[in-house]
Amino acid sequence: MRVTQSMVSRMGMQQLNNQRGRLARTQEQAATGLRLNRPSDDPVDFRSALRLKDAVSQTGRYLRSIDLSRTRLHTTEEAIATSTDVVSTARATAVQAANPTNGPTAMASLRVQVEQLFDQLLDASNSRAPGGGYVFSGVASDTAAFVQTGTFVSGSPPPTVAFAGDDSAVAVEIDDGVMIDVTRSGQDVFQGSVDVFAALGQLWQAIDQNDKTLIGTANDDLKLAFDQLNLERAQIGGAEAKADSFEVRLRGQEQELATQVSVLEDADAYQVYSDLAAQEAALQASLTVTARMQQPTLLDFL
Amino acid sequence: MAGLFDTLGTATRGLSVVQSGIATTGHNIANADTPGYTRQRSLIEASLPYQTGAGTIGTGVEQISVERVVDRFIAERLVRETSRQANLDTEASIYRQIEAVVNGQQGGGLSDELTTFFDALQDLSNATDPGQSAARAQLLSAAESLVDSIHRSDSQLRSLQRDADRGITSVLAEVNAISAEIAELNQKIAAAEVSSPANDLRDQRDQLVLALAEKVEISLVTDNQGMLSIRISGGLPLVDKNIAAELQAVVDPANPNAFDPTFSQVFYNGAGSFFDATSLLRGGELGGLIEARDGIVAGAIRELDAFAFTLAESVNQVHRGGLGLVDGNAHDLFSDLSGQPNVDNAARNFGLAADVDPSQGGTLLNIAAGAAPNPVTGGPAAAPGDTAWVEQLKDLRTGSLATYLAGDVPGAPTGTTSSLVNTLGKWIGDIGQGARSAERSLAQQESVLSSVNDRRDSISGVSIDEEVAELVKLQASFQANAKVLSTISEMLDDLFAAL
Repeated sequence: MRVTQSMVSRMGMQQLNNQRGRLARTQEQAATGLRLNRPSDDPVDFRSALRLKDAVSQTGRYLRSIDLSRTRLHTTEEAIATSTDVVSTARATAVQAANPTNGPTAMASLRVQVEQLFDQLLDASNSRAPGGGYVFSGVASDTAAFVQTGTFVSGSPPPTVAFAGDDSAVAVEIDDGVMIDVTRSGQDVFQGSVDVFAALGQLWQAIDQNDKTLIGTANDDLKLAFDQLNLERAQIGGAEAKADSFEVRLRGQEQELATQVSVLEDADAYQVYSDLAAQEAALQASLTVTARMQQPTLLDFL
Repeated sequence: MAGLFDTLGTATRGLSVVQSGIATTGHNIANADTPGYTRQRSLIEASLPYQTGAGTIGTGVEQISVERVVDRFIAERLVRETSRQANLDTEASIYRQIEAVVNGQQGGGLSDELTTFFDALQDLSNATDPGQSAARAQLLSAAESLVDSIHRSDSQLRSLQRDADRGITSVLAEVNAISAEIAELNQKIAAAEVSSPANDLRDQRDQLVLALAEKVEISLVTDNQGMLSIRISGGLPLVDKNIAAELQAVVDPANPNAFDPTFSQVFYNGAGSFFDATSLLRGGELGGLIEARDGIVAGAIRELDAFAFTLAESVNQVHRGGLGLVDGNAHDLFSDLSGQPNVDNAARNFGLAADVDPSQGGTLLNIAAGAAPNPVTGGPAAAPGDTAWVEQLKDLRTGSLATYLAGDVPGAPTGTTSSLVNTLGKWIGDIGQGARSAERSLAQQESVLSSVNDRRDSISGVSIDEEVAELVKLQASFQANAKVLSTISEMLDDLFAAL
């Protein structure tokens, strides 16, 4: 076969172009640290990487859900804890009031104490989450959960408290299809089988009337109220525990997914650097050879 | 018997043949780097001898002609492969550009925006303030970015398409100029070849044929006068001997482009006819641009349309089932596209629904986060803390839904059931696949073309070594002929001295 100068030069140029192209690609991988720089680098892996990256982001959002759900869980739990303290104090007051040696002044002071406890309980039942929503109003979070009618006037019946919110708990999704209640139904907590406000009111009235039997009944009701509040508090505690366990799981899942994305789209650094070195060496060799091949003709020897 | 003068004539002819050989070699060396140059060769033979009683006496050498060294088969193959190369090159370049539009690897891609949109939806269900005003605003801005991103992809693809359309017009001008030149050269070659082969004119014509092959796929027919007729696919004569036909870009309302009536169609104007030949043109840059405009880019746009339609339709469908904070009416989140005759142009028409967009007179309160009428006020709007419906919307992220394919009629999706993220991933993956195979075919074709070029150079290219060797040989031959001449001259001197 005849070999002409233009063939040699074209072949040399083509070789050099190919090598420079390969080198440019490796350089890009080294610079971006990515194996997948565009969809055509590996269409199938690129698709998987897209889906996985969305899953990473979604898992991140679930973790955020858990973080944010804590504010409502804490507010709810604290409110119930406060209410439990109120009821405990009220029971101690009831025991004190049942003492037959109490004079009228002592009874009046105990009555005022119950009035204050009643106010505290109302405050707790109308607790608001940091965002401003009433936690015991269900979805009607802009409405105060409990509304008091009337005031404490000695000789009159105690004020009543009515539930004005929505009788439901707010649920939040913390993983695909996994919901937790981040609040409790105000109705269930404060006016479930026992009406905590009514029990306190009853205690106030019994003290006001100095009716020892009624004080005993009120104390029994408060015991039931105490149990009811504790049960609700346990429920919230359960939701918190669930959130904690999912947080651990989701963190693991997030990391696992991120690793999978990295396996798909990240370049292997060692591979890239050794490729880079090898390709540079090859390019230099080609340059030397091409330069030498281009020079000699028969003329050099005549 | 031959006289001294006859031999003198033989030597003189020898010298002149050697000289013309040197001229040809010089021509070859001078054109060693000329693109498309075909090496030439002096054809010589022993001239007619004459008979004497003593035998046949030679009369020296005679030059018959100077011919080009070509292999018809390789030349035709070169034309074919050049067309294919230009075609694949155009397609690969279009794919590279489409890929840049859809590639979100450096951030800001359509897939990122879709992810952000669903993230914002999820945040809405976590907002603790009644009415979730910040989360609603965030969702709307994520939805707006998604709309912008789809519009941007659509308009970038459409501008690629418009570039291809302009490219077609300018390539046609080049095609017409080249075919006119070939027709003219045909005329010149036929006139010149009455006497001897018009080597350099043929080289010029071959170069033009290759340039034409780069523009469009052609087939060649040579007649006995040396005129070359060129046909484009479908057998249409582009150059018929010394007459060139024309290809024209025409925007004709009566004969519109199927995708966009403002695009031009390619009309064939020649041999007394004038008609739309767009579908007949294949190969080369022109075929590549037509395929890019009407096939590759149009396909990518229509798939984006189908995705945008699926997105709008599925989100709206769920959104309508939820309740906003204003009234009990069903509201859309994205503009309702179901009035379109089919899903085409959905990406362009995609937008936010007026109901939820404050800049269109709507309100964020119409975003349907709630699942039930407000239980406290008795409805019809949802309670301000009700975000239960967001879960339904969010399920669209990974949940399977009926997807539309390009050209589907609203309400009758024919695609496979898939999630939105996967549908978008498929679109991007398909483009990547196309780009990859275009790139591979191009690389393959480059090596094919280069081997054909090597073959051609091996036969028709100038080898300096060979020419220099030829030169040395001719020089020796010149010296020998000169020696004969001087010997005869001395003999004649001897004779004249004897007189």
